[in-house]
Amino acid sequence: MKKRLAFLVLMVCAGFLLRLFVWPGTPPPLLPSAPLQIAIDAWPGSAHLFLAEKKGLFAKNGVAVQLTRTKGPAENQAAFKRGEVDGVIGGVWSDLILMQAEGYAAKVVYVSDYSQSGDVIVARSGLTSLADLKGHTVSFETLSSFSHIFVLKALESHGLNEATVRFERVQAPDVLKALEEGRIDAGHTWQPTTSQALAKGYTILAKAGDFPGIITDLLYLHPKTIVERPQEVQALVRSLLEAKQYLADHREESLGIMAKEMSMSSDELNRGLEEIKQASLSDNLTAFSRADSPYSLYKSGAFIVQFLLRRGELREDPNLDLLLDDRFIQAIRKGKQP
Amino acid sequence: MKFVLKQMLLSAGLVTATGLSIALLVYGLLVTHMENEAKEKLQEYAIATMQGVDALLFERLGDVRVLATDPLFCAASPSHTEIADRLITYRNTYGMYVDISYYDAERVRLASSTGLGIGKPFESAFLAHTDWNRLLHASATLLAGHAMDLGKNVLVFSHPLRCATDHAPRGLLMTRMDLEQLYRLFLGEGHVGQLSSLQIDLVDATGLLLYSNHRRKNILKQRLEVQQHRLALQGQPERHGFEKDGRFFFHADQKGVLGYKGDGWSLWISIDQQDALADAVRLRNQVVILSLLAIGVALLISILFSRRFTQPMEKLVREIESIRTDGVAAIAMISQARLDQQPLSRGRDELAILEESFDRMVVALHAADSARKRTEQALVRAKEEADVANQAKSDFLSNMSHEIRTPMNAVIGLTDLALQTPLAAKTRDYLVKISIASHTLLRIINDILDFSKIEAGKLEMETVDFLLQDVFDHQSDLFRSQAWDKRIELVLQISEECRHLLTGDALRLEQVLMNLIGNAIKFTDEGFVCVKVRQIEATPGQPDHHVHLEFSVQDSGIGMTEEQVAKLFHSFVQADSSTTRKYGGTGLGLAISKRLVERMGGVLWVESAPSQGSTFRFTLSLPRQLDREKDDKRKQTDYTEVIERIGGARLLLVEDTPINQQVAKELLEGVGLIVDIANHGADAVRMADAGRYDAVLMDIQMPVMDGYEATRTLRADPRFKQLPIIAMTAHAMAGDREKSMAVGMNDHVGKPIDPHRLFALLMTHIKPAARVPLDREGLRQKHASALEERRAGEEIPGIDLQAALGRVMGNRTLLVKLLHDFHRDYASVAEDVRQALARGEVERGRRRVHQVKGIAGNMGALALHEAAHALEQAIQHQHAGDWPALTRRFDAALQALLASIAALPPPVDRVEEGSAPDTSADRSGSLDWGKLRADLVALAEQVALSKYEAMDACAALRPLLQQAGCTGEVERLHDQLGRFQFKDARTSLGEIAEKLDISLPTQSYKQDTTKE
Repeated sequence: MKKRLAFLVLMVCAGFLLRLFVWPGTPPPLLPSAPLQIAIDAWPGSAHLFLAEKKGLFAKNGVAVQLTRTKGPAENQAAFKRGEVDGVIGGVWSDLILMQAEGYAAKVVYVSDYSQSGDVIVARSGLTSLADLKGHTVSFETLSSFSHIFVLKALESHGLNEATVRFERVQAPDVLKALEEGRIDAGHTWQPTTSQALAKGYTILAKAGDFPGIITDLLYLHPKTIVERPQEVQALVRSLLEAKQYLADHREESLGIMAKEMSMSSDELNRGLEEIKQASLSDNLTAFSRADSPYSLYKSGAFIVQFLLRRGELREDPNLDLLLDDRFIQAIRKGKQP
Repeated sequence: MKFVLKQMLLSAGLVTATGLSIALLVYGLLVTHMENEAKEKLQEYAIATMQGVDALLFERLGDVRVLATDPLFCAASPSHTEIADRLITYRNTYGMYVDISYYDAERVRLASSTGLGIGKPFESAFLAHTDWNRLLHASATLLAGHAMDLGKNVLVFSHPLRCATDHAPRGLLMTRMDLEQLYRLFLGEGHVGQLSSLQIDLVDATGLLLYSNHRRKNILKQRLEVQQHRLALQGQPERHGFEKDGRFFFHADQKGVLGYKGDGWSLWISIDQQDALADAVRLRNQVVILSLLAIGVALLISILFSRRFTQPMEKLVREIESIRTDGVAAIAMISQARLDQQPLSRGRDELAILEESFDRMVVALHAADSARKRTEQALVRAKEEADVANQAKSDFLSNMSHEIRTPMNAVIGLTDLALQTPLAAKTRDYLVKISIASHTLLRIINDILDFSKIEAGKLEMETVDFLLQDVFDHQSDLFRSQAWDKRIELVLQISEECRHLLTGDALRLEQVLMNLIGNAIKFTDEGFVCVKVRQIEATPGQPDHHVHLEFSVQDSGIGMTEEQVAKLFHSFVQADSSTTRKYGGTGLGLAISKRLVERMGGVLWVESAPSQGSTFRFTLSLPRQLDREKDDKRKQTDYTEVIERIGGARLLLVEDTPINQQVAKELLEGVGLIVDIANHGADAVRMADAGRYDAVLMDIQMPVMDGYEATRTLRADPRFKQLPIIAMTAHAMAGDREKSMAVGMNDHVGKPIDPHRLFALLMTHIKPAARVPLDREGLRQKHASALEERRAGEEIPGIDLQAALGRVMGNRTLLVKLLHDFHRDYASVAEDVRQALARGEVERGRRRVHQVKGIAGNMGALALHEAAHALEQAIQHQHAGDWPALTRRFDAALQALLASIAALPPPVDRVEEGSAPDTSADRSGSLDWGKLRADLVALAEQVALSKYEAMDACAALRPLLQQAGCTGEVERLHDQLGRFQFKDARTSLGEIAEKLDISLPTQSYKQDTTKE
């Protein structure tokens, strides 16, 4: 009896020693974790997350998800950088690359949509083509942001560059005002400014869909979360794809549910959805592949990286593999779902 | 405290002490080392980082210096688009700058790689500490600030555009680098970057915060008071920074690179002390935990180990304990268990050896115990056998003693008989020695017989009535002369309350006392022997009518050691063997005494110490005869019953001394007994043969034939088997009484005669067949007058008149006559004795003294009796040295008595009347001893002179000698004288003289002795 006790004590001691020297890291949590915290804004491409939640897909797939609503991508990013959320949906690929250069690690596990007519360059009337913008002033949101990249990409396609066009930094919602004030001749904006500008006679010179893959919206997570809670992440990704399917199958019902969550009308949301291209499972597979497709994140990433490298935003060519984790998509593909 | 616990505590103490010492040492050394290392690392980090900053700035300044030399910028009229294209190219090439801009001398941005802010002036925020002109005329300049157009904090590297064609700078080329680019320098990989509390502040010369990892919002807005930090740093070794508010501060100044002297920037890093020392603390904790673990493990091992080797120890303790409590049974059990169990395959440590030794010991003990048991059983068997053998031995001894006694009696008797025949002196001497040796042997055999009887449990105790006074008197008689001889005072005391008539075995009591007193005297050379008896308190449970007595025999002798005392009562053992050699004895005496006392229900013990003397004590509890005491008193005063019962019986009195004859005769006739007198044993035998007697009163020591021989002779005749023979013993020799009983006498009475005891005995033994008719009334009257006579009588000095008159039935006239007779016959007895002793005629001397003793006793002449007794004892024991003194004492007592007698009135005729029965004694009484002595002396003189007339004298003396029992001798003497064999005649004459106790003239004796 005493011997057994002594042995037990010895083993506990040995275990403690082992723990102390061989495995100094934090042990994986043994208890059920808190729900996954996901930051989300009113981007129509992210709306199916609400649908997944409301339709109980998360519960069905065995993951608890808590949503943190924000006003836009900047807030999403800030919340992520502060560590307040585990992941962000609706994040833009270029922002992610930039953020990583600043030292904030994140990984893409899911592509939600590609902006089509969601991002546009509106111009005052009289300017009918991007080429007409030579010598004029064009606005973008933030230096080196997806907005900057989209604008320059669009201009570049018509032989224009920073030497031939003047620029102003204007936030998308302020573009109409800046146009009206005459501070700019054209600018990058999105809904609802787009509709408002169109209503006032402004014209659209270009839209993101003209440059496939230039604005790709994603779900990215802390690498730590992926490592620690892969099953939940898997369930999350699965739920999102299922929600997309549900949206496709029950569009009206889904619109109603999503619109309510996003404080907009079903029509507004419906329009918004029409301005984007929902990324299907196969789209996702393409996105995570190195295929010669503009939708490949490697492909679009290469352009973004070059852009940032030139402007001193990146010191070196980053390894995009570190930013991408396709195992959840691959897992679903292998399971042929959905 | 248990051994395990002690051991554990010891181990724990050792381990803890060692562990803690090591931990403290390690902690002291390592922690200090780590602290210093941590500090040094931080300091190095600060310096390295600052060097990185230096290098970066140097490179960027170099960049702008190089770019500024581009001829495009000095073209005569450069196209702004062209310049912008060039700037974009440079930007893309360097990949380092957010923007490169071209300003004219008037501060207006003409071209930019970003296309932002064209035509707008250089932001004044950058010119807070400088001005545009200074920038224009300076070399490469570094500025820091927030670029509004870019929406970024930037470092601005400006360089004037100096064109050869121009006399003044044409403008400024400015490269702008995101301030964030510095971050990569600070957030380098490695240890320092991991420290959460690390605070990094990069300030320019003015204290403006250029970079901070902890107050980013204040970058370019806040100025730090680094001056006080610099002061704090003074005097501190650079490597270890300084401490303030629980933080370590480290600092690196911009040293510049190559030609670049820096812009006075400095880097401040600080860190929470705990964080800085986290490694050290972690190490410390690990050391503590490790130490505790080590202690724990050590304890565990110690427990396991100590259990391992205390277990056998505990087992040993248990087993030893069980042996202690259960003894032999446990040994057997353990031994069996040890034999059964497999030997432990343990190391040969001390414990194993101990265990093994213990095992061997237990097995050995077991073996020893088994052996002991076997021995015990053997011993028990041996004891049983020995007991049987001992019983057989005792039986054998008992039988043998008895068997030996019979021939011994024959030896003694025949020796005595032989001595009565005419013998050569030498032969007589041999026979005397044989007689003495035989008696000694008989005594020893009696001892052995007693002892074996006791051992065999065959000793039967008698129950008779007796007085302690008698017992003590007897002892006194026995030992007085012996004590006198050794000049030892013999004191016998009976306390008053012990004068009761008691019932018990008086003989055995006397035997015990005799042993003790004899021993006391034997082992005492000077001082005293004190014999006492006193009454003691009864111990509970003893009968009421018993008298509880304690006898003590105390001496001032050599004493004994405890060891000797312990062995004392063992059979055949004296205090030690040397004592045996010195003092002689069989060693049975005390053993017998002890057993006798025990048989009588008492206890015997001794108190002794070497040279302190010894005291032997024994207790007895004897029944007291109250009724008989009263009876005795009555009897003492009333002779009526005596007369009634035995009056008229015929009695033969055998006594050689005329005076004693008369005393006894008077006494016996006083109660109506018919008394005949025999002068010696031979007479007695003859007279008994002729007459018919109801009893015989037999003196022991008599000429011709003594009492023993006479008794033996009588008993040999079937007619006299039943004849009561009562010995009259003077207690001259120990064992006389036993001897008298042994030869067949029925009882004994002491001398001087106690009338009451004598009559009591006679009444017991005499059963008169045909009594002579008596004048009973006359006798009664006679007694009455005798009583009166005793009361009325005047005192005679030296005489106990009462006692003396008691013995002659109050016949005062007779007593006076007897006294006169004594005066007439014994006036010269002292001289006689003296001469006899001087001549060496010891036995004759003794007989004379014995005669006087007897007469003196009967006549109540106590002083003379005592003196005679002492002298007789001395003679008997051949203490020749004492003879002269005792003889003088004897003489003195004799002379005193003679003087008293001389003062008495002369005897009257009435005596003749009173002694009328004397006629019956004429046969013996006619022997005139005086005439015989005188004639014999005369004859001896004639023989000595070889006279012829001697034959006639012998013939004339023949009738007298025949009458005196010397028929054979006188015939032989006569024959020898007839043949003129005077030499032989002298021997015969000597023998006659010796036999008749007559001292012959010196020369004749001398001739005898010279002849031998």
